Amino acid sequence: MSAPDTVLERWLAAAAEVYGGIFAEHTIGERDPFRNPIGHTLRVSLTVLVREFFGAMQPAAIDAAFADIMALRSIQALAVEQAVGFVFGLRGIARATPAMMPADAEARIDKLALSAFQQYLACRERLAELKLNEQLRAFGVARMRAAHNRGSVA
Amino acid sequence: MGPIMSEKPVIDIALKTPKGDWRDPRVDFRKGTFSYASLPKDLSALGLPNPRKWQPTDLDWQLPPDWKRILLDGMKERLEKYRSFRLFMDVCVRCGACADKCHFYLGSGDPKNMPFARAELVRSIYRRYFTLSGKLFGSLAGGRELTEDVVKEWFYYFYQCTECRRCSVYCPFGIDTAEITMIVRELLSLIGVSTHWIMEPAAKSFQVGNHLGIPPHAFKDSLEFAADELRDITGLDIEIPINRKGAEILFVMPSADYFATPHYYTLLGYMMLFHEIGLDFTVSAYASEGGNFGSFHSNDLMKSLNAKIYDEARRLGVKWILGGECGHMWRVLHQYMDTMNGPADFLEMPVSPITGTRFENAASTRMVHICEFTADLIHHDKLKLDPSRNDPYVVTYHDSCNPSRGMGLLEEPRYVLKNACNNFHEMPASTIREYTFCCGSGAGLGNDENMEMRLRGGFPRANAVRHVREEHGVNLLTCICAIDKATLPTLMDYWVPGVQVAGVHEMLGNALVMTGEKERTVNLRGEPLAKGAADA
Ligand code: SF4
Ligand code: SF4
Repeated sequence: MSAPDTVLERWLAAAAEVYGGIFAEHTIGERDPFRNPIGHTLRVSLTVLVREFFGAMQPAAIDAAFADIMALRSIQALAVEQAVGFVFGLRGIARATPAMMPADAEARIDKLALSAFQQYLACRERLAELKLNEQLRAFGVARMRAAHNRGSVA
Repeated sequence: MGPIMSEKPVIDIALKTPKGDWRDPRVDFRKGTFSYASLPKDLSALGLPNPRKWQPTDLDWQLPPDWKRILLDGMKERLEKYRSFRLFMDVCVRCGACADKCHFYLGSGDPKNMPFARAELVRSIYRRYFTLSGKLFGSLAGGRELTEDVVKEWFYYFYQCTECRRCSVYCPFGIDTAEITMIVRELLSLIGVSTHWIMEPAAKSFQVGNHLGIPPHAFKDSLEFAADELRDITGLDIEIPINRKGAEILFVMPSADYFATPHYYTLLGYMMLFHEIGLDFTVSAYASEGGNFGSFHSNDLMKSLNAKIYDEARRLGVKWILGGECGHMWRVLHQYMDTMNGPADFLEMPVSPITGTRFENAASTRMVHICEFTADLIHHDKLKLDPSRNDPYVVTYHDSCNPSRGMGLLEEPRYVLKNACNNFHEMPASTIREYTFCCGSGAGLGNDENMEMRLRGGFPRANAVRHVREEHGVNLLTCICAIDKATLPTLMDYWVPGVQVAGVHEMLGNALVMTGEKERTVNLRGEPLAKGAADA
């Protein structure tokens, strides 16, 4: 197994560990994306993150991958340190496989962790907006009528 | 290459979720994952027991002093009354076929969301109090004591089941966890434990006729506004008759169709269709709600809310009933109406006045689904459609649980869509038709205080939408359920931004070429039509 592949599998296991028991096994083992959407999302996003960890560390790719992971973990029954903590799991993986790691691994992990926290917070902030928009749609016809009566376009 | 790693982690992180004994009933009512409690005014309006102010986060739920006896008597009564309930309590062999089929389990990872585990929460009480082995050996025989913590756990997990029945499709014994959920909710209601988002609309439906309590004059205003909009879009005077005695057909829709968006665009589509074919119909300000929130609470409340549709059909003297794009209205109609309030033999066998098709499938309920009706019109070449008007949309279809799994309506909506739209793509086979994933907000869970739980439950559906967005550029998710139309836009905004939500009859209305219409320049949302279509 190549270094990135080894890191991916170990990191995926670290990310899934938070679910515990049989769901962690399901998350790692089930490859059907529709029977295992969480595992699928983690695998796809972590593949990007591992590529960046060993590669160019492009901020846009890292942020997009963490956006998908944190969309999930920010609304699950996880404390923030549980949701984001698996990023630091890379440290342990790095220690266990020192020969494979980039020389500046620690700095790279710090950058990844920062992005993970930022995406986590962004997801939490989106919840308020979702609720407001849903309320507005619930009375959408009244709003259209009011706009119409004001002579403006709804 | 080489490690530059400090030996000690910077922070010590607990990665594992604490795992305990599944029999431990204690739950954490974390904000965002449960619905608020019902208010005393609504329970009083419906004559239901134990009206009081409380919340799930309270330590003391102010249950009646004899709550345990009430629950066990209620269970006994239902075990005797419903053979299915007794069977469901007895026959599960824990084969695990249902385990990974529930969207709440797949989106949360909470093992108590595995359908058999959800059922086990009540099955363990059944074993303890209603089987000999459980009475003798208690927990050794898989029994649990009924405690206040169990009541709280039931509330948490049975209001975390959308009664979608996906699990039942995979169960070799046909165990229907949705029915178990319905019975447990009914039991909880006996001691005054229910949710505000269900009981308030149910009370308003009971007292006024629809979920928001919109009085007849406001109902009329809303429909007149729709007629005005239709005049602007089509140039035609489209009449929407209300409470017209002697009409051939009573049309019943979910109230969201006339107060919420995007539902409203579906209403415009219905009315264009009825005008074009010259349908002799009426809507009713009394039966102004197809939705039946009673079905999320108890058999009795479901029955009384369903009855008003039929009372109104009798009062208005119509021949049969046509029903709009609603979810649980159809579940109630298809599965329960006949034994609750049927057969509706004071009405006539529904026959399409345009094609002559007899809807024999509605022989007992005398109520036809709008998608069946429209598909029949298209099949008989009675409508002129220009699907290019929907060309800006790349469409997929979400099978709403109740019309699909609940009543088998799989082909008709697709038939309408494929005739009204040029760009249609199915989601993967394991996520549609009878295997459809729920929106995660049905059965009374669709309130904003429960948003995080809804997003967890809706994730498997969203994941499949994302797949067709990435594969085919899908930008419109269609459906035929009012709760879907209210909650899927939120789900899409969170999980798959760029995908809008619409009803099937909105697509039909866009494509419908009406006799005498002015040149159509905008779709039902007031957006410019596809260039080619507008020029044609
Ligand atoms: S599939 Fe049916 S029998 Fe098997 S565990 Fe689930 S409910 Fe029990
Ligand atoms: S009915 Fe639906 S929500 Fe309820 S347990 Fe089964 S799959 Fe889950």
